[in-house]
Amino acid sequence: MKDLFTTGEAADICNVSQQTIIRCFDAGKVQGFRVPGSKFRRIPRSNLIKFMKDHNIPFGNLDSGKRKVLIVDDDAEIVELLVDVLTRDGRFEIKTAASGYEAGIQTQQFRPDLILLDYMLPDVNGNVVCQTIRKNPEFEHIKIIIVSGVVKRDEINQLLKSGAEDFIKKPFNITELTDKVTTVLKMK
Amino acid sequence: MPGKTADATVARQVELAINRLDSISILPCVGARFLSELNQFQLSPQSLTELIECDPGLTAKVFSLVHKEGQNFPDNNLSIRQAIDKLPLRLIRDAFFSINVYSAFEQNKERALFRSQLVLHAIATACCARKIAETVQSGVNPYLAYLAGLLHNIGNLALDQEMPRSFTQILEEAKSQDASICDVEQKYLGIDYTTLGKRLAQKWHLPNSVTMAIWLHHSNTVTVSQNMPEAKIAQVLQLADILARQAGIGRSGSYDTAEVPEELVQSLTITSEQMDQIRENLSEQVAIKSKIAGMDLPDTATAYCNAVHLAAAQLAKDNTTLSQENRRLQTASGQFDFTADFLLSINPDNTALDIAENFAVRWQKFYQTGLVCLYLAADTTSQTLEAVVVENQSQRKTVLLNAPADSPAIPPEIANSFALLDAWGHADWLFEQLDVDFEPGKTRLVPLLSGGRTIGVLVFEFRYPTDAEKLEEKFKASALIAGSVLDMAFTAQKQQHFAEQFAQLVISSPAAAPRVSVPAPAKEPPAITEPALSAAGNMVTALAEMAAGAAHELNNPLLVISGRAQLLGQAETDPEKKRMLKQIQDNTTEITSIIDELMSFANPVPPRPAQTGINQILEEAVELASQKANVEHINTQMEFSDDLPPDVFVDSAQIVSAIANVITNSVESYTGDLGPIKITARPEQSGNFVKLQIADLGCGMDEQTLRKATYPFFSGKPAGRKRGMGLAHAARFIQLNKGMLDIASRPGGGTTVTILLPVHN
Repeated sequence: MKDLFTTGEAADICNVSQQTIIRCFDAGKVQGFRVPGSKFRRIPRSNLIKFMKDHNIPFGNLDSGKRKVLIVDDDAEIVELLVDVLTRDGRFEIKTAASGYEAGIQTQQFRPDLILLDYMLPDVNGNVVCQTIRKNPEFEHIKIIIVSGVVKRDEINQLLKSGAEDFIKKPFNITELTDKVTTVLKMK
Repeated sequence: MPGKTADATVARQVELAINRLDSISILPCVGARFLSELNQFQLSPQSLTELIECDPGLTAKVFSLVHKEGQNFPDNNLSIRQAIDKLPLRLIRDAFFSINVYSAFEQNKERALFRSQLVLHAIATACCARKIAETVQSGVNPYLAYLAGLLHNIGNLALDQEMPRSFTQILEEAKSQDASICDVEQKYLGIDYTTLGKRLAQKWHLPNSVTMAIWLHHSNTVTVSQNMPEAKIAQVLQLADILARQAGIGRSGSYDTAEVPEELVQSLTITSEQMDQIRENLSEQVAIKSKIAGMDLPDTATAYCNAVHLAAAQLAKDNTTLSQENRRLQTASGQFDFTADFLLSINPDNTALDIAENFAVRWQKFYQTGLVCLYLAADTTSQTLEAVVVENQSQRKTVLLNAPADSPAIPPEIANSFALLDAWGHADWLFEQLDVDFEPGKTRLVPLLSGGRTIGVLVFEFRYPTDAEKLEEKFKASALIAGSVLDMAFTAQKQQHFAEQFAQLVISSPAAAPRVSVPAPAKEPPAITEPALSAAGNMVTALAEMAAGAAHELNNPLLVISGRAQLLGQAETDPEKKRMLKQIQDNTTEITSIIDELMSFANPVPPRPAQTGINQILEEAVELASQKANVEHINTQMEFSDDLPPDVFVDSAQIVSAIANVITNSVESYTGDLGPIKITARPEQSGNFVKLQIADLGCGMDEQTLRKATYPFFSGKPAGRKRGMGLAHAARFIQLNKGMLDIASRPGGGTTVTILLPVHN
């Protein structure tokens, strides 16, 4: 996670011109310091966040430090449950999708780090979603965990071959789920 | 010709002329008699025989017919009656019509009279000859003698027919000279009637003896018959001829004195008294005969003409009837061929539309129609109709029609019964959609019915509209057949579709198949199709289907329950509440494992059999059982027979598990102290299996329990103790490994489980 930003970086994040940031900096609207011995301005993370909040600038481009997880399941209650579990954990930024199609869109927009993918979706097999994501080089880094109530042994192997990192069977222990997520994302 | 003596050429000419004769003409009275009986259907064989026996012409004809038909007379039974019986009546009738009737109309009455006198003489000779033959017992067949007499002067009759003028002159000469006709004939023709008679007799295949008699009856018969005994008949004939002349019946044509030669009398050994008697009775007999022949009737010529007219009329009528019948049969036969060909051309793979096309083409050809369109309308709710349009044999196509919006596709008049309708006004919607033009005024339509319901309509352009009504019956018959066949094809098609859908349901595993896209996020369970289950029959398979379906639906709600309970538990501080929430979670886990059991029961891993040692299996099973039953040591007694094969061909893991379940049950059947469990192994009778028996002396099972022992989830124990899958699993595994399981038990008397395991692959 990035702790210190240059004015240029801050400008990118706020979607404004560098000049604007400099003026704000000089006006004291955004707190920071100068690198000793130079004219370069530096803005600490928390100050930038405060600045953005004060001016209602959307946090879209700011890396919150949380891992992005996309939950894909057509059962609304299950989605709610999983969102709750991961939110309470606190380390995750979460978005949801209820179909293969929505999952596609969200993956494109949200750029998750991990997808919790239900196998049985109304429009398309989870398998297919998996393969599609894997095919796209842009999403190379995205990890996938398949979640399902009914999958047979041989099908699980097939899924792992299609590009899923891991598999968890419903109903599961929520700690077990969190463990799998953190392991796959190499968080600890 | 008189005055000019004959030479050989004349004789030859005469012979040739006579030989041309097809038959001896019959007298008009005979003709009339025959025809009148024929017309009144009174022609019994007997009366026919009698009639024929009165006329030389008919008699001769019968013989020639017999020969022509290749029939043979049984040896000594040569008679007209026999001939009649053998020959078909129509043959006789046709033959009769081919014989000339002596046309007395043009010539003078005297000639006609003379001819009948000739015939009368013949009859008299015949009767006489028969009588003589009977009297003298000389070995001559009386019947043959009669025939000989009847036919003896066919030569004269022939001459009279063929050369009437010469014959008249000969007669006159004979009369004026008081000569025998033979001599006169010889003189002028170089040939006499006996020779001519013989020729004719041979030509018409008259019996040999008759031929001989005819030939020889004017010769020195005594001498002849001395040398040829078979010529005795000639003697008889000769005498008969003379006696007949003496009796003055008929005219022979000869005018010399009729005297009986002495040697003839002696040769035949006949007495004068006998001869007198014969002569006296003769006229009586002849009278009878002539009556039969109708000779006494007046104006026979007219009678004959009338009879001929009547007969002709009757025959004409018969002919017309037969022609009509023939035509009717021909068309019926044509219809039959049409139907048979159509039915034979159908094979079970044809769709209804194929059959419709086939039929439409045939219809066009058979009824010689123009355009034909057959549309199928079995499904009255459908918006589209299948149809076939036939322009000619090689131009046909199938089309999809839109059902008419405002009127039924099938005109109400023909919805349930047959009628031939004019197409115009009933099928306008059809004509609009087709790109071929049906000619108005000539187009008709008929329904194709099956079981009282119209399932299709055939529209056709009929070239001969006036005939359409006449053919209505035929149309009806053809249409009915087509209707039935099409209906059957429809039914077969429907069943096929149903079977295909049905197969889909049964074959495809709902787990692997993607869910059908349902817009609403409703969580209703998949429709468990009852028919699919009952059709599968086997309870295990049924269970498998249900398990697979239910399992994945249950897991989602279970996750919600379990997950929420967990989350709440995490946030909860109150220990009691925490405990309760833990309880919720634990129970969902329990439910999950039940589902898992069901799933694994429903879709077991296919066995991977290998040769495994029996010893090893049993040891492992006991080990596993003690774990399951939570018992340190199970009291087992193993007994192996000497001839036990060392291996069985099974998936060892599955079989070990199965046997372990059985042993566990045995352990649990002991309520108090753990009793002994005897395990025996020996080869089974056929040598293909090993028979294992696990016997205990525990509580045993009653009949009810025993019946349900292998049912999944059934447990004879108090509820809650076990899940009741043990024996179910065991049975399943054993079955999968091609083995057999049997349980025998008595309440309070222990249980014996017998397991057969295959030795080889």
